[in-house]
Amino acid sequence: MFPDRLTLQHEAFHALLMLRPELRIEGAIALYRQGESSFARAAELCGLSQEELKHILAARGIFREVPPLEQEDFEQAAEALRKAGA
Amino acid sequence: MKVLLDTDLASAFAKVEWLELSVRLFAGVDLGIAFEVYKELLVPLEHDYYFPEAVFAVCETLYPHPEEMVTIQRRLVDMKALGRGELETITICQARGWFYAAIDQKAMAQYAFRGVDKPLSLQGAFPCISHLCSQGQ
Repeated sequence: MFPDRLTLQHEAFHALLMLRPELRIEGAIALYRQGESSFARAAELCGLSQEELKHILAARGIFREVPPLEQEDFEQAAEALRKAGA
Repeated sequence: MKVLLDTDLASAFAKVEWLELSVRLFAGVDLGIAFEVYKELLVPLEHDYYFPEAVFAVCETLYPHPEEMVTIQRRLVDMKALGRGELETITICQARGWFYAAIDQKAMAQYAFRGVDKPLSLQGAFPCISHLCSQGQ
């Protein structure tokens, strides 16, 4: 059977997600929104393509925000590119 | 100089028809995608989205070397917050000293590039290249 309680819980959780795929999507979106996973990883966890997940997020009114570039970041990136011979 | 794009950024640039323009503007900047990103972009192509063709037209597809594949396998276990395409792109960039350009803050936060603690971001990559080109560098 199962060697210990933790393994049992682990297997039960996996079985639940397999039987209730909608929970995978909810969980993956929650992880993404909390910053615990990247967008690409969230799509993988859902078992969807990135385009499909974008549609689901858009349908729910969830928009992806890209923070503005700070001057320091710009200068850092410019310096890295300069060193690389861009 | 080579810049590797992840799936998200390559898709975004292709959709706004920026990729071909970038190649024309920034001579000497080679755009590439990792093989895993190539596979991810095949999915929308199968579903009749045509923007991946623009990516394939201008980006060289790069395959991980055997030693890089070992690193990717390890990271699949250790870095569960990132997708397979991101892990492959990051690993190739770090191993070969190329630039990694992305949108995702989570992916960029986990990447360090040659003493620079942030990779090129969507907002940063092309304005920076444009800035340097305008200075004649």
